[in-house]
Amino acid sequence: MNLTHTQILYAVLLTALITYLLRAVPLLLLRRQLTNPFLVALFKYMPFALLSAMIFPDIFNSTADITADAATKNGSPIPLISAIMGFVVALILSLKDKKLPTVAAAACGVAFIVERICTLLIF
Amino acid sequence: MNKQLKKGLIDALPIFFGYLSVGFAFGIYALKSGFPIWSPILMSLTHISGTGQFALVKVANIGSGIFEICIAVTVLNIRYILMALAISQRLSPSISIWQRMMIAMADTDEIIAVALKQRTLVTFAYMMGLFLSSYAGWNLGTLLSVIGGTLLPQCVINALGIALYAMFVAIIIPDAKRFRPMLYCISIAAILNITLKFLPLCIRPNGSWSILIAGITAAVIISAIYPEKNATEQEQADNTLPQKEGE
Repeated sequence: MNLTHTQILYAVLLTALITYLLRAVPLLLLRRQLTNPFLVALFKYMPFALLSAMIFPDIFNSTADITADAATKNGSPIPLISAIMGFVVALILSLKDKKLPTVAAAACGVAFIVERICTLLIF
Repeated sequence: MNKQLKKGLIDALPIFFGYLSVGFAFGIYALKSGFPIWSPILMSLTHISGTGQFALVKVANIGSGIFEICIAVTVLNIRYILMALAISQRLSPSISIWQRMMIAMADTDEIIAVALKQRTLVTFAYMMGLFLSSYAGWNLGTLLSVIGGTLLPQCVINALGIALYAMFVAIIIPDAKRFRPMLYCISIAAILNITLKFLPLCIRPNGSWSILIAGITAAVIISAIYPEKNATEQEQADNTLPQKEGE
């Protein structure tokens, strides 16, 4: 990185402004309810479609250490295993209409336990 | 306390814990990349955007200047326009312009997703409840990483990494179970996004573009086949039903 502290400050504030405008301008411009059936459906399905694309396939990499340097990442299969187990549990609980905190906590719990067990078994 | 505000604060608890972990990871990442200690805190306070903040650090890291950083953050966050348009259709008409400008701060993927889970129009107090929980988690996570990166063991942080994804699953699956078009929609988006990852490197879109392409394509296809009435019309239609089912 070759930015000075002042440049970092400008970069942070400028990008914060950009991010805010991206969020605020559509909200301020579109203040009425649309009636066009295609657009109504589009805005209903869009967030779900984006969320689905965000989940797959990234969820399977979600329990890896994202702060580790490329050199220390040794291609261990443990994060993949714990993520798959966490996903399966989340899927089952979601199908049973469990609340969001329950699903999130259960997936984390299972991912944690699976990682611990795998680590114990392998090392 | 305002009932709607309280409901928002509680509904956003999974976001709180998810953000705690991602905010924490972000702080570590920024410090490791040689950013001064105040900068991740300031970023989390002013951005509240995982993708944007990670991108800023990454792009600065490879030696880019302010202009390139701004371009990268803009491109990665174009998604927020779509999310804001979606939530604009679900805001109660009583919400003023000033309140809308505050709600814009709460326009993150996670908060919008939880808000859209509400079957009715959402109020300003509810949105602020969601925002305050999430904002607290995001900034607490960043702060913890800066004051002591070893406070939480790495294995706990890794496991927390799945929290937001699990929450997304819990948001899209119940709707997909009930409405066939929604099932088709999320399936198309997921399959498209995975398929794009297998394109040859020279024409493969990066993660953020890939999500936009997959999401927009899926939503356009399904909306063309299954158009809908808007929330107000839908509510009126529901109210005229002889027996309204309690939720």
